[in-house]
Amino acid sequence: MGNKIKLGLIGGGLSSFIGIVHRVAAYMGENYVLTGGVFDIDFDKGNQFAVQLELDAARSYPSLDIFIEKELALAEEERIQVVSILTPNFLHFEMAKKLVSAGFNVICEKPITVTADEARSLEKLVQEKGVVFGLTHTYTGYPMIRQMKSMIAQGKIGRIQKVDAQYYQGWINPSIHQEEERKKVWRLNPNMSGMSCCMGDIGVHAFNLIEYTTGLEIDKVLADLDTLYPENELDVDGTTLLRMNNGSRGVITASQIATGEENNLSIAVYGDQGGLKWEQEHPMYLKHLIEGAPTQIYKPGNPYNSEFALESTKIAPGHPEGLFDAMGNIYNGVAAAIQGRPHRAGAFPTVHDGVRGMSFIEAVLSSSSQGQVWVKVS
Amino acid sequence: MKTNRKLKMGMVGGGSGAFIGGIHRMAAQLDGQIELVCGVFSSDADKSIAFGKEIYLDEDRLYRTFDEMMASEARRPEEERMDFVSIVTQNNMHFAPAMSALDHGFPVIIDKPLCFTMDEAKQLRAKVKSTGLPFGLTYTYAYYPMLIQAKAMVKNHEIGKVRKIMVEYPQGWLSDKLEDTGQKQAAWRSDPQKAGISNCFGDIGTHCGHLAEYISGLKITEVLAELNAFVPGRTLDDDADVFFRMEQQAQGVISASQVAHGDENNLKFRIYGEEGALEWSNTDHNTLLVKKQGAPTQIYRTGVDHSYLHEETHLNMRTPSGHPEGYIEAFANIYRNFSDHVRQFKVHSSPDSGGTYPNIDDGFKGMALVAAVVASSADGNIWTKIKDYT
Repeated sequence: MGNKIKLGLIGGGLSSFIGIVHRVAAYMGENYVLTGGVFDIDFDKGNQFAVQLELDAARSYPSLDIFIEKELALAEEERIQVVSILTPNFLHFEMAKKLVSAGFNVICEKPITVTADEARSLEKLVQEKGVVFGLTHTYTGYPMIRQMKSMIAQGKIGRIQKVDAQYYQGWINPSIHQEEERKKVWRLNPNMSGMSCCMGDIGVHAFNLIEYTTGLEIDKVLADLDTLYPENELDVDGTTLLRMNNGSRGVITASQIATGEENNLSIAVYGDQGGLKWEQEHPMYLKHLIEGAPTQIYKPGNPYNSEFALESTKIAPGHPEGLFDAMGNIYNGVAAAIQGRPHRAGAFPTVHDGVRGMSFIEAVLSSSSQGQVWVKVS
Repeated sequence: MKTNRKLKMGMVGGGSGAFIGGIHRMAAQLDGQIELVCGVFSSDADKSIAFGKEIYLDEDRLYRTFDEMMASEARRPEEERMDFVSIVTQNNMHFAPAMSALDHGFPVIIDKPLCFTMDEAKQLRAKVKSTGLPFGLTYTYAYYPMLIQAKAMVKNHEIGKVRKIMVEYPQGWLSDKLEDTGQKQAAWRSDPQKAGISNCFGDIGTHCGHLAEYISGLKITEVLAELNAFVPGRTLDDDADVFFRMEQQAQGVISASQVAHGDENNLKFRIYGEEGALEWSNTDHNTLLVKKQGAPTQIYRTGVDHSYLHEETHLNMRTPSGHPEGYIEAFANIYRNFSDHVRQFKVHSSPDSGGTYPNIDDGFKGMALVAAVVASSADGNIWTKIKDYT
């Protein structure tokens, strides 16, 4: 086991999609060893999962409280150091609060909490306890997104004057039209999902990518959200106009009823010297638009990239990396922070990004419900 | 002659049911430089005349044979007669109307391949040289703006000395025995009496060979080829792989097929020099990729507002960036450049300066290339020199 970081999981067992992403990401950088957790709300299923992964059965726990109690009773060198929270949204805050209070480092799926106030109180707690808190806005881990961030910081596109992020999915379309089908979707249930579905689940990724790559903050929003049916409580589609803190404008368009779309996230940032464009479904290509000159295609692993982008690639140019690798980069960033190694700003999204995201979601909902008015992201 | 008028075109072939005839007519008239005034559109005189009426030509200029057309047009006053002839017949019907046109003093633009046999090609080349008349050939792809740009960049040493060329041209339309269904193009292309010694290589492999020479500025000197007839019952090739050697130690490979299921017209061209590479694909024909080891790939795009493109490229575009031009416009570039020369020729007897449209030498080289490829394959895939290059 050596110096590897002992990782615990809350949720994410068996066939959970996001659980697979997190486990693979943790293995990839060879910084972590999965040691235990609360793998399922059903303890038997959780144990079954622990057996499947050949984990020590004693480290499979029935609840978070027991997890904390038993782990704290272990000698420090045996103890799980960081816990990934992969449960449905409404449980994130409660669990993160308990873990941080007990001194555990945390990796949390987004959205960080259900309200912005919760996120703020969590940020305060993380600061008091001095733990590492990573939020898995996965897309920030792609090498070409990091290259984009570096190029914007280096002034390659000049002063930013327009941002455009789009996030189109179609997966809710088959479930949205019948009430019976709709009830089976936890993301459409406010008690599980929180106050927003589309903006809370995917719009917030677009928001995060804009702030991450540009280094700017989104100051105000004007949003128009759609639930498609009056009896459906949560938004499944929305468009948000943006005012950035440098005065520039932008737009976020998100939808989960864009029929036939898979995970079509894209971002374009335009400055007075040029533009940068990237698409999640073609993550190896970053386009650099330059006025009056041919567009340039940046690809990972080539020496013309920034150090940050190069550090975020494991294999030779031309060999595709994907979502797992992006998540792996975030896990590597968290590992560096836990082990006290130097790491770059942006190596992983933090609790502060969580506060920003929740403030965005609240502002968007407020704007839309007031009849599409400008609302400050506080 | 007066230069402030449209040039008058006569047409041989391209009547009802022909694919390429309509393309030629659209391309010729696209830039407002040329008008169709007369023609013989079919070997069946009644059909020819009926078709001419359909496209609103003067009935007294609808002819029953090409000989009649050449003779009758030549008798008309200079300002009234046709200025050149477009020949778009099947391969075996290129030579006779082309010779007749040249004998009557008319410049010719002709679909590829130049003609049917090497013997015809030699006679035709000698005739063009002796008359000095403009003679164009429609190797269409070469006149896409981004391939003109590629040629200009190679000439301008932007990729260094040429090392290697890769041209692939998969089509799927003859994956099954389409000729048995009565489909007109499939029937004549697969018939040695009409298509000549090769089907696949003669039809689409020649485009690849032409592009290799056109863009590199180098001649192909020898080939090693393997032709296949995959579909049972076919006597001519429906698939071809060819290694080629060029002047100045450049090398290349052509892979062409008509049995590549599902491929429409996937011509792709790549050229690698000592300092960089260029890549173009017919499926994204307004883009040219410019590659250099260790640098981001550059995307060159068409557009009259793109000042980074070469002058030759600008002369062959019409629209601003982001507004796609296509196949007919590429075809029209050849017609426009050819008609520019015909005008100069009529006024100043200017000879063809070469390079603005494919000419008799390009057509001749295409014929010689096909002959060498067929010989190499028949002789057991051996290196075969291309004969009679000038």
